[in-house]
Amino acid sequence: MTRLSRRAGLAGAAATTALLATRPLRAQAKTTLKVIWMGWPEGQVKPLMDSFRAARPDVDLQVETIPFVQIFQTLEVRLGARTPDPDIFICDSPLTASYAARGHLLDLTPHLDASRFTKSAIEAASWQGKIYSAPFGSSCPVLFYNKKLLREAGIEPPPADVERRWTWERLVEAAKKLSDPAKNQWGFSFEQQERPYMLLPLAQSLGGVALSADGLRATGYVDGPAFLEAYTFMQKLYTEWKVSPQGLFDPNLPVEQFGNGKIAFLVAGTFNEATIKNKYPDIELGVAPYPRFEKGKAVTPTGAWHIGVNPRTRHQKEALALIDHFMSHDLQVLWFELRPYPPVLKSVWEKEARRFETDMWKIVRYELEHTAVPRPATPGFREYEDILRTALRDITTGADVKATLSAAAQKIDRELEKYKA
Amino acid sequence: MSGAPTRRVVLALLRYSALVLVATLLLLPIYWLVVASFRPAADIFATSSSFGLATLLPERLTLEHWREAWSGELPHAVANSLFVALSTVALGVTVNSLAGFAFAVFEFPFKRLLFAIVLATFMMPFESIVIPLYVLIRGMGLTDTFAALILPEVASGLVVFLFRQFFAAVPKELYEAARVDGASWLQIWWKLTLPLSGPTIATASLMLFVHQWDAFFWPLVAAPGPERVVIQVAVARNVTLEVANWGGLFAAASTAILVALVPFLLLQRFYLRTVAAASER
Repeated sequence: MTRLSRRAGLAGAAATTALLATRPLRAQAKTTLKVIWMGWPEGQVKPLMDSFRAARPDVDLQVETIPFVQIFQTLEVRLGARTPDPDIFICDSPLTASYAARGHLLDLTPHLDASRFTKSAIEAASWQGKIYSAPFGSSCPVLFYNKKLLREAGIEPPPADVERRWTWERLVEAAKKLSDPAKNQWGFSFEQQERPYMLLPLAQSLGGVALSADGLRATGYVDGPAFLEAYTFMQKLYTEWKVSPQGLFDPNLPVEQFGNGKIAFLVAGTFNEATIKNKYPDIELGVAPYPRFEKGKAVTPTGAWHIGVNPRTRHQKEALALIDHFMSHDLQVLWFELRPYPPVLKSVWEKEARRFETDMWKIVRYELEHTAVPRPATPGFREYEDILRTALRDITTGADVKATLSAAAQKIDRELEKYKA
Repeated sequence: MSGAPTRRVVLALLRYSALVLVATLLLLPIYWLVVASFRPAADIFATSSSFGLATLLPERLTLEHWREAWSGELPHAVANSLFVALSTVALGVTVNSLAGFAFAVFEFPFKRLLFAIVLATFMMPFESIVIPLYVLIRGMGLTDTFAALILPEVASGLVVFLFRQFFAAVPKELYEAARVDGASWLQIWWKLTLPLSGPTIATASLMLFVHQWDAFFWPLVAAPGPERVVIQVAVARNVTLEVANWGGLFAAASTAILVALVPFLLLQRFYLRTVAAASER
């Protein structure tokens, strides 16, 4: 018995040594790229990565999918360590300037042909005249509505026509007829009740500007008259007219309530169309453009996920090959099929035109070309967004609008000070 | 004569009603979470808008979310987290009790300063050391290994403190007698003091276990590969900005709560006793 187990032990040890010995050999044969990716469902990640693996059998991908709630903090640590790892990372487009200013993004200007992309995508990828992140998807919220609820209340639905888009004032009048707070029945909600992404266009519609042109001053902008008027209006949705449910800060919650027939109008991203139709097959879904103020112009949010290359990577050639592959027409079509974000490549819009013949996509296409305004390009976007988000949250629950915005503007200025050097 | 007992009964009744009320308030969200994991997806939030019997008692039940959660990465994540947490407990109790023993029994230069530094470690916010810690772990070639998850959590200032407080309360004569009988210091630690410190070991184990069971941010940074996925990461994967799989989330979160409950229920009476005792000394 003893001899047998000893022999087995020896064999095991030999096998381990052999395994250990072969590891460096295999590593030499293949370049491995480390990729940090958003924690989308595996079915929406693996096909993309497999497509690159098939095209480049000499390069292996080690993909880490990070849940959304921690992806920015994780990237801060991983990039902050200033190592060659990761080689490639998913980059929220408004953070492009922030990462670029701190030396976390390789300048992709010489590598990307800007003329292939939509104008808004290149704007969202640029900082100080250079392209630092490769646009991978765009975004555009629209106004969804529940046809049945509108019919029952005798309300004529908003047209799916950008030229005749509803005003916020008209939406509120309709929402009042559809609301009954006692029964938890609401006329309207934003999908993202506190995020500047979805709410900045309110102020921009009235002529407001999110930040100074150099991206380093908020006073005079965030606390200016347009912001004050826009967010006073927003507050009234919750406190005076009571047409919006308070406190649904998790973006998934308003969508759930809309699906359950508790909310009649919902401003939300395009990807929700598929989610709503799958989860709530009985709902009669209507779609219209993002509203504007009566005296204002139409402005819509945009920007989404981009891809960045770590300038410290030891495999720049392979990393750029991955960017090329991910920016190719075929892969962008595959990505659209997996996750219908508005495409960033003009060729996808043109060659796949039949996919975009629905009301929603016609609206989106117009908005991206005419009304979309990216979030401000500033190295301090993380701080800007955090502070403004808290302020907007407080405003929805009744905080003094003027005081809250002034305090937020001063706080943002203090944070931006460090980028002036 | 009957006044006093009646009053006592009434007081007890009031006291218990208050306790039951507090307990209900604390447990209700957890109850709702567990029940929601058995509700069909469309029902989860359908009744949540107005609080009533329907909020608490599901109309229809399904095992769909549990089946889905357990057919994915959850079992793997539970096994990984158990391995990480239990390894940390075993290593942590050994290392921290040895350190506590040294601080309690020996005299050496800068002892107070060193102890103050040990205490400072558990007051330091993790966020402030995470980047250097990551650089260190990477430099040691440990990223994406279990060692990266276990090693940084082994030494715990709070646990060293608990052990020191306990060992300091053991009469010095006991150590001296053992020394006279020829025992080495290591023997004294192993044969004399450790067997005495059952409650402290239980407390330390519980603290280390729960800390590792709840670990979320560090595993994402240090070992984000799919092979090392831990329970809290598996739970969080059910939610992205745009899509939430609520049923899956609640089933995974219920699993995380229920597993962590086992050691807590077994060891909690020691936990309270030790923490109270340590703060008295």
